[in-house]
Amino acid sequence: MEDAARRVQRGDVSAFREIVEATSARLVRLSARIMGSVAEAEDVVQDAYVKAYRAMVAGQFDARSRVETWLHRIVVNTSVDAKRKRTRAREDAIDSSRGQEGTAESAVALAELAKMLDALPEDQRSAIVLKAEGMSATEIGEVLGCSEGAVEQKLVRARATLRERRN
Amino acid sequence: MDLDELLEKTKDVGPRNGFSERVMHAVEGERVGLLTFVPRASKRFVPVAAIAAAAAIVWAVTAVRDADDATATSDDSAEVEW
Repeated sequence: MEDAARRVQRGDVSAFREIVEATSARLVRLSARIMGSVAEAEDVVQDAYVKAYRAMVAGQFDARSRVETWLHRIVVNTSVDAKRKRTRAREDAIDSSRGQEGTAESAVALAELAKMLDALPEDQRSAIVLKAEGMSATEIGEVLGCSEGAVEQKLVRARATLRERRN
Repeated sequence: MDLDELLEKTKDVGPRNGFSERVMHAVEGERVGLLTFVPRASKRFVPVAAIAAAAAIVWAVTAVRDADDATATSDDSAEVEW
């Protein structure tokens, strides 16, 4: 994927498709768990890809982090921003007409998960969904811009909050 | 349901068919936007550049004329009689 990123930077737009095909499944799932629906997640991830492409062409991706980690960071930030805007616009309730994607069970679970995660601060919510993607504390730290210890702390606090709310 | 159950139930969630095409379409649009940005931006500077060029020509003509006048008028001119 790093090679594809270099080709994109040299102007090969078709190399960007390789990046999209290799990462879209994880990124849409990640965003859907924050947003509560696949349709909204697709919009968010599409925006994130366009931002990433623009940054690559402008030479703003300096390859200090892995392309995938960098994309996760963009998707998490874009999802959190989109969610904040939606909340501000008082559209907090998840739109059931958009929940036609996937199985009915997974659509309901997504909506319920997003609602549950809404109880957490943004950084803890992001840590939980990144952890669910199988990322290590170090990788999550790279995405969120904090130390491994801080990530562990966020995860512990998040789980404790959710447990408290459940009881 | 608890967190782990919900995460398990959403593990197969992914983009719908045609998502990659949609993204590439948006990226291609962005690319066209970037390619047209420079000519569009430079068009704004065409009138300013034209005025600057005209001013430069006027200045150059005036400067040449002044130089010609200075050369033609000598301080210590002397007529030679044969």
